[in-house]
Amino acid sequence: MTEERQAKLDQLAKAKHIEIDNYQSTVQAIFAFAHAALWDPNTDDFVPDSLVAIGPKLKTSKENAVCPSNAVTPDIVVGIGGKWGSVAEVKRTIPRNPDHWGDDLQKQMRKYDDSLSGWPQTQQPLPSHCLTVLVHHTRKVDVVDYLSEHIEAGDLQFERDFAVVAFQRARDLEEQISLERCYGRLTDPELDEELRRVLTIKLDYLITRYQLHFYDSPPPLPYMMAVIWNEVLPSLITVAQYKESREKKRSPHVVVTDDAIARDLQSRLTRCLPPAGQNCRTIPRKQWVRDALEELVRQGHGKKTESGSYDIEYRSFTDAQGRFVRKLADSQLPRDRKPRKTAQPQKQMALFDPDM
Amino acid sequence: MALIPERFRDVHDVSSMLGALDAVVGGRTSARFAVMPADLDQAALSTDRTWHWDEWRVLLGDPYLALAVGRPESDQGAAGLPLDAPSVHDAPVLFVTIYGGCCILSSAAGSGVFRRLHQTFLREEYPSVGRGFLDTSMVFEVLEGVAADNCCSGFVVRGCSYRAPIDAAAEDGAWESDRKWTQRTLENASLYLAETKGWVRRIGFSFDWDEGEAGFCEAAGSLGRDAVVTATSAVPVVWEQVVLRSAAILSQEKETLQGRDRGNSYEFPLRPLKIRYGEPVFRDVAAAKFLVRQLRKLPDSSLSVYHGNPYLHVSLVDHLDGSSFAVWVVDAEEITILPGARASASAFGRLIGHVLDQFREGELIAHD
Repeated sequence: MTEERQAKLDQLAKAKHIEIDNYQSTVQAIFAFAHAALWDPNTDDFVPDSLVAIGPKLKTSKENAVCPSNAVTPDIVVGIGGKWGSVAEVKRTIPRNPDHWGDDLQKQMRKYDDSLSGWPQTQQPLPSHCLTVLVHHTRKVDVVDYLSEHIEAGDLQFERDFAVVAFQRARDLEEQISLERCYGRLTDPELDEELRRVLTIKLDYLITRYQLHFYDSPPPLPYMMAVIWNEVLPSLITVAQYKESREKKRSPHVVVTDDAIARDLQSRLTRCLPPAGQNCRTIPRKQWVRDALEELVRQGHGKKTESGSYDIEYRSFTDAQGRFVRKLADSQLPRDRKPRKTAQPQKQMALFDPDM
Repeated sequence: MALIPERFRDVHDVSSMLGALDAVVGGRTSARFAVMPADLDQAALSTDRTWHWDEWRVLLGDPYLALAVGRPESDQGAAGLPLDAPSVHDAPVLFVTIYGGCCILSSAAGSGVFRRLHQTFLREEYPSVGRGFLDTSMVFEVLEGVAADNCCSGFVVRGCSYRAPIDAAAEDGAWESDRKWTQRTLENASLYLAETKGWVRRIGFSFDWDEGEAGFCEAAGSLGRDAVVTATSAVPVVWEQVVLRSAAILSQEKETLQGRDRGNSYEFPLRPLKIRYGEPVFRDVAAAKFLVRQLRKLPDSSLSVYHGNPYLHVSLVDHLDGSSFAVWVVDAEEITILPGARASASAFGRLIGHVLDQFREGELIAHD
């Protein structure tokens, strides 16, 4: 590999790691927001009759200004006691140019400014819900300026309460997620005041309560592959298979389907949520799992069978995610051109062949 | 696998094992014991279980032979000796017995052979049997129990090998090992280790034991954090006082470690474990990097780093039985270990024992 290609590969791999980090911090922010809304520190449990659903499918009414009588899938919805709820979208990264924010912010939030039905708990519209945009704190000023400008100009209006909540990771001796309501207001006055004053939640609190793996957006491919590799496949291989593989010095094989893995991961995600949201199992989507399994096959870790399942050779790696990142980055870089063989200088023909 | 002679199959009690061991030790005065948490019972050991004795023979070579606990018939001499063994001393016999929730290997073999027997046995029986580990407080709890007994007098720490941070204020967690030959009391040895912030690897001891009418005998040996006990004199006293006390503590530890797996769909609740240090060991990111380096050294495992800085999140898979764990450092004073879909007590013990010895010793806390 040339030095130039190596440098490009390192750069691309680094970008993929940053992408994974962004994805993870977004997941953490989503769960921090849900936790802030629904956890009762006095009882150390969820508020009764509360629900959290990641990427649920809700239905808009006929009167919806953007997409009437259609399905919408917000990143997260929370509902408390069938009384009020919040429909939230997360924007970890948004385009630098505010001209492109129309679709991202305005259109999407206006879709949710409606009497939505199909809530996991009740199937009926909640009496009231507010709209929340979660943004990374580095973009909060830009987003708030943009929204204020459009709302003051009258070209953006919401019937429901609308709030912008900024999130960031903060580290002292403990890793924390901070949430700050920096624009508008949330329907619940207590939560609104807590977030106005900036609420910090220990990451330790979240990791010991929730499955912080996915939200309603496709994860970076190497990350999805690593979750399957590290957290699903090991327990699908029997102890006897591990023993046999040691004796024969061969890696064990496991045959899996995208459907079964998706179902296991969906169960894992929803089991840590309040019971009301547990029938809403959509994340991770089967397509994400399938893409990850296809990439595992492409990277030489198994093969696809005729029945459509995947026969994976479960090898031991010192850093599975790092390996998947590099292999993927390598496949996305154009190949180095092989140096053209320089033609061997042909001997000048003798004017007179001595053998003749 | 009919290598276990019929006459050894019906003996299940510890006293008969001791008698047999005594016969094997014969004129020698030393024996070794490995205490391991186990989910086996004696009946399974001696009758129903298929043991891969042939492999062991191949692995260790003749005349080495491992046999289950057996009562020697009075006119048969030492228990379980292979017929072709030239003498008692040339045939290290491995006795396997169950005590409480532990499996104990006993042998008069030398340290090298015993280590191989121990490792082979573990590989064969994992995860039903796991590697034992005792932290510094547990080692002292065992020995303090012995010293406090009315029959014990003159308890002396003869030697101590330990690890301690290179500089007590160092933030990368690196340590150095040392070994001291001493004549300290237990209390004194404990204070010395606390001052250096060190953790015990092995303690050598001796004490006098009142055997009533038989008079006093001097017992001596050593106890390691791997729960391997060496008895260099008064083997039965060391067995009863040190080996069995260690087994009792490991049984309690096993209770803490087991039943934490979550099932493929996470149908069981999350029951994490924490290693708490009581000081901000992870204030500097170098300590997290050192932890990753040490975790990579866990044999038969693979590690994936999801996040390395500023907080640490790694996934660790045990390739001996498919247990998986998420290891998090999100608090400068502690490590959080979240069990995965499969998380056997043996794999948990292997991981935690490795971290406590190879990174730094802390207090194990069940976060249920």
